[in-house]
Amino acid sequence: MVLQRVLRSSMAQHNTEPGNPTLGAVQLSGVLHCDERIAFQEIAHQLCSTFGIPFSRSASFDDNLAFFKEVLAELQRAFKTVVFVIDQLEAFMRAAKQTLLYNVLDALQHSQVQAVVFGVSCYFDVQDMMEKRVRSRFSNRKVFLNGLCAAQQDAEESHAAVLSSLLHLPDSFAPHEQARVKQHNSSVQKALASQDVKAALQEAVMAGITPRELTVVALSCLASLEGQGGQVLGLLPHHVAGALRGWMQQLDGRVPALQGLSVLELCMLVAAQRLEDRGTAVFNFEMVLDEFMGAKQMQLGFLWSRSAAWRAFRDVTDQGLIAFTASRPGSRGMMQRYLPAQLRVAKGELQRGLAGHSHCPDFLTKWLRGDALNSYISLA
Amino acid sequence: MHRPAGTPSTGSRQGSHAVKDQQQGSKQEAAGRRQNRQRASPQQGQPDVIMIDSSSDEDEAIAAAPVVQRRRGRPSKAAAAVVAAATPSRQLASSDSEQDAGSSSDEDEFNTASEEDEDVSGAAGDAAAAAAAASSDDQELSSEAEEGSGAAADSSSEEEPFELARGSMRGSRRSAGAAAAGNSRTPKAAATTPQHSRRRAATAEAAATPRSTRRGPAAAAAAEAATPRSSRRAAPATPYGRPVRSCTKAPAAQPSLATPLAKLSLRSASTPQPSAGKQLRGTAAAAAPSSSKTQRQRGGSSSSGGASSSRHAAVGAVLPSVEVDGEVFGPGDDVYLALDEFDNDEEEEEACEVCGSSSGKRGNAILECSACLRGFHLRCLVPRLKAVPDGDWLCADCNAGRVPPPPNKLVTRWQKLLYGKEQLALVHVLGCVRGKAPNGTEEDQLLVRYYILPQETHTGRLSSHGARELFLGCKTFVEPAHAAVGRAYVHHPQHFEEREEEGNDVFLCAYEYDEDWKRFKLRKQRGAHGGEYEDACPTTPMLAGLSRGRDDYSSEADDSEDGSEGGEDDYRPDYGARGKAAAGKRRRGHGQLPAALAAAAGRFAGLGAAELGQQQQQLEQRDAFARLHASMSLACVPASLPCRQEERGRLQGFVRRALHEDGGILYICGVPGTGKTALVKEVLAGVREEARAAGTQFASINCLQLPSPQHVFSRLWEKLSGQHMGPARARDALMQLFGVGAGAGSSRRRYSTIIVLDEIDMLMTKDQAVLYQLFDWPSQPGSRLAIIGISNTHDLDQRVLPRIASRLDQAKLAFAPYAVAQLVAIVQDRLESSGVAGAVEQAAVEIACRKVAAETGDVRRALEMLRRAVEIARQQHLADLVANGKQGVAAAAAAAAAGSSHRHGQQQQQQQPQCCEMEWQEGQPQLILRSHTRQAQGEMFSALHHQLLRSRSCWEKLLLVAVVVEARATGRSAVVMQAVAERAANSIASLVDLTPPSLGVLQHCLVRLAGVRLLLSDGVHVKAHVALNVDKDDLALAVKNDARLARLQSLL
Repeated sequence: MVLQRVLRSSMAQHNTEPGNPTLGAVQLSGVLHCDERIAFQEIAHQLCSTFGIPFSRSASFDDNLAFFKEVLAELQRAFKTVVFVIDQLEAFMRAAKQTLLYNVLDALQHSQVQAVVFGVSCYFDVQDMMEKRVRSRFSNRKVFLNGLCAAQQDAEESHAAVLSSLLHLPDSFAPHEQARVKQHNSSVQKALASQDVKAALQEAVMAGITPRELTVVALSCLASLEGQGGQVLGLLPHHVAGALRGWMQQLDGRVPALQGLSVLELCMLVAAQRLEDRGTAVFNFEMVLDEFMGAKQMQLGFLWSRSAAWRAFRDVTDQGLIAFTASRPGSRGMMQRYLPAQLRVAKGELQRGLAGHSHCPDFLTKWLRGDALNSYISLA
Repeated sequence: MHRPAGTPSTGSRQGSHAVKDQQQGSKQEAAGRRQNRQRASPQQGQPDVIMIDSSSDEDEAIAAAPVVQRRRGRPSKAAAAVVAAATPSRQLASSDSEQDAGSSSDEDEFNTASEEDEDVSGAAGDAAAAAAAASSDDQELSSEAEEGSGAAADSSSEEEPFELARGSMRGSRRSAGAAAAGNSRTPKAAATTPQHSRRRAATAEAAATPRSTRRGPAAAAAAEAATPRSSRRAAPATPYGRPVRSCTKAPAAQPSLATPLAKLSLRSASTPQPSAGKQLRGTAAAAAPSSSKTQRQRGGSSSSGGASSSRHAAVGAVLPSVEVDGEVFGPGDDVYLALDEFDNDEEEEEACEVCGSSSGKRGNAILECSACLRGFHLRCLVPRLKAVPDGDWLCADCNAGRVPPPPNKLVTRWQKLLYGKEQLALVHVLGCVRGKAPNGTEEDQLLVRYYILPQETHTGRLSSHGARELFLGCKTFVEPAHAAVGRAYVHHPQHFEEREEEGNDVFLCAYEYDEDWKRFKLRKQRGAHGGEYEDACPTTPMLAGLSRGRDDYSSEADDSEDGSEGGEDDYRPDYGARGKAAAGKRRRGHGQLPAALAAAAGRFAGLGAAELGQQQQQLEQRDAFARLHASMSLACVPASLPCRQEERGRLQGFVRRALHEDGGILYICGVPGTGKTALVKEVLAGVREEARAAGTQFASINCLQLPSPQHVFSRLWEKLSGQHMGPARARDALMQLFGVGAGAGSSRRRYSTIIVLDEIDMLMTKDQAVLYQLFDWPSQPGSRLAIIGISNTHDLDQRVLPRIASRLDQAKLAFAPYAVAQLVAIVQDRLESSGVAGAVEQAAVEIACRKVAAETGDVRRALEMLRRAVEIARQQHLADLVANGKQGVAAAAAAAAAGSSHRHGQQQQQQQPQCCEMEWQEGQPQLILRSHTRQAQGEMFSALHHQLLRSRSCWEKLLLVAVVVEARATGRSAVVMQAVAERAANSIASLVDLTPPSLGVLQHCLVRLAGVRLLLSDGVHVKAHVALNVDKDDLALAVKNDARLARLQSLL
């Protein structure tokens, strides 16, 4: 985003003449163009559209490479500059020869070329992934964009400041209703100053929250604004705190998911958990069913067929609580029952889920705890 | 026919830019050449040249010339001459001086002093001295002449300065001719008619420069024989400099004639009277009747045709088109030019080869052989033909595979072109200008490029060449418009097929041909619709001039990379229908991109003179910082590469051997940034002239730019012969050329070939067939092939199969990483060239070099670090200025800080140069200090992850600690997320008095950490395996700094 802003401002500065830009930008994304042929085609395409050259779609890799060099030289002669923005730089590192990076960076070494290359990446060690030839040509300029940091609470960069600036209405907003704008802003300040909100924010900060996630939170704050007869009540502390808590809760998505499961599905999970407790972390459906049947013999009342159990098992895997470890499980047909699978839920979560479940049979919790079901039966 | 857009007035305005730019191009070139002579490597002056390059008006042009001189550290005699030539008030004196220059050079040649004109001013004396100096090598003077003409052409209303420039050209040419005469043959030889000496020079040149010798005057051609490099460069340098009129040739080619006579004529020519021109012509006619005859004839046509088109146009103006004898020629047209006395009056039909008559009655039409293009009457053939056969028809000779004799009578233009001896040439018109003829009259001139016949290229006529195939030469010449005799049509092969039926003056051209380096390059084609090629607008010659200017002083290897840009072609000469269809399919893709480029070329050039001027001012205002910065940039190529003496010696030895005797293999290896490619380029540039003399072919390929290893054959063959083939076919062709087929010891190839393969380790395939083939050829007897492989890998010879290794072990040249002293020397050398070397503290350089030498020895890295140091120093300097509160400076800085709005930005742009404009001089405190380098070093080598770790949130750090603890507990580096979470919740969180985070929160942390690669994980689910990607100690440091987690440090 910083890069985009810089680019936009410098473009505005240099591209005084519409239709005849001095500064052109070529934007590549590693996710979209990680194939080098496509990347070069995209470069050619963007260069063409920026500088108004007809573009040929069917040009080969070789053509595009030659074209790329020629255009750069040509642009230099006309005192024009190209900025290459390579997003997701690390994706280009995965290619075996890193031809794209090599060629782009090598082109910069020619005295005829006036261009800039920005690589954008999340990885801090992206430089180590470069091939030695590429690394030698890389200029080693690094700009580190610090995320919002819990340590620096002082300046405008703190989370609270970001959140408040997100919620504040600008002064220029709705000039004829300045009073309302002011009212809203003061209510926002009040809400953010309350202890409840501060505690919630602190929790979120401990987990780490990005500006983008903060905007989501702010949006949900505004969504919870309620009005009465045209009179909007100001933003109240519980709105903000609720939004923050809501965000925190969605991190822990599995417990609510467990609470919505049917009993049989829960049985499957518990059986799997028991298997895991006994040291078989990887299992298949038949093993789970065996475990379950073994327990079922001891308890009374519940009788489910094998197919019903399979169906429950499938539902659980669809929810992601159990996952097949083999690749492409969908293509295996009936063999799926014998495919290895893994529990993707921690035991603690399972326990909490069972505890919060509305009609979870008692024996399941106990079974999970590992109590002998015999005693339960005897009680019954 | 394509005409430049816009009204004539805009055309002429643009045109004046174009002209200027050509001059600037020539200036660059002059600078480049001067430099070439002084230093081994030609690329050095790039930044300076760019400065001159954009100079937009006369004053700057004048000012620039001395600047160039001073930069080069040359005695500024030549510059003085230029200034003199450009100052109108002193024109007469300097015109004398120019003549003097010309004559003195002759006299120098014959050991007589040039003391005639004692009464001329000091400037004239200077010029004479310069000319005397130039007689030993003529480049200097010719470059002056170009500069003089550059300055003069701007004041287009005044004719005298221009005339001066002409005079100086003449002088240079004369000296060149004299030098040639002195060097190659007896002085008498040069005294013969120019036609003859030209012929001889042409024959001496053999296949090297087929076209340029054709119409080229004795001076240029002979000079080519004498000093191939310099004057060949001089010839295309400026369009005005190209000697086109026979009257210029005449005095130039006869140094032994009485100098007073020549001088008299020259002096009178310099006065702007038409009669003077006649007088001169008279002397020329006396010396060389044949040439003056043609000249007169053309002069007549000029006055009738050319004058009518645009009498009012100023000298130097670009015309949209010219009209000659009722025909209008404009840029983009292909035109026949008369080279020799030539009867142009009637256009006859071509004659039958048997009976000699050209009458084509009904039923007795003339049938043309599709191979040799000779015509036969249907009835004259044996056996007779009743009707014209369908499809291609071959005459008896061609059918039998014999080499057909040339036609008996050369009647039509195309016959004269293809079979005539120097009668007619075909040119491609780049632009039209209103120029000054050497005799003082105005005339329309054409900027042209010659087409070259296949037999004039180094490959000779191959069976694959079509009968009407031509190659476009790379050099631009100026020819008088009245020499044009008619129009022809040259098409891209694609369109040639469609238009073959249109007439006889249709030709085919797919490639450009570079005579100097015997290389082909795919011709750029203007869009598929037009059928016409590039550059219809007058700006393109300017671009062409610029590019040529660049190329000329760029090194050989650079040149060859230019060549490599040619890409693939789509023309496959001898393919059957299937091949053609395939080619047609590919065609859509090809050709359009280059065409697009050509179209864009005009648009790119849209910067007006004002902007160019601005650019130039900005460049001029570069302060010490900027100059240092530029000298450190990787793109700046130093004049010579210090260090590497031993390697250089070996490489030179190898190349020399390859030039004159048999080739071999040289394998160069070394870590990146140790100057492998640079040294090879430099050495090749150094032997350039030698190579030219020996007729060596060069080809350079970067293997990383190939789609697949096998394509190396395609690329090679295309470069060597100008045909595109698939890898397999190309390999066979190459094998014929170098390998067993050609050799058998019987016939050695006439010229040797040097191939440079950069990043050769990319050619490794599984069976290593490509490498084997490549390395096998040099060992064939008579192949005269040398391969220089450049690679990073030291162990290539061990990795390859034994049979390849045995061929490789002849020569391996290892480049060790640079040591500290070497790095320092390199950096210092670059600093010296920037002119402000003293501004950098010695220790600052040393720190950087030490650090880099300790790590990789990569010079790129050292330069980059110092570059950054310069930036830091500059920033500090600016900040200091602001702190000092200088007026205006603070405002500028404020604008820089605020500069978001457009207007602010502009202000900032304007003020920035002012505020940092600080010319550093000796004795002032040094600008770049140790501290700056330290800071740069810190930035470069600072581990990013320190910052990254510090900014992690509380739980993220906790998770990292938990990973460490868990890994230690399990003894594995990769641990399961769930276990980590348990450990974090149970044992670690309790240590820091916090409620343990839920698994979901920890997973959220994992996602974030894995996103920045502090943790490596194969997923984000609870069973994912995670591993730490940073050092434990760094983590400990980060944890220690966090007050809440400080206690965790004990765990690490």
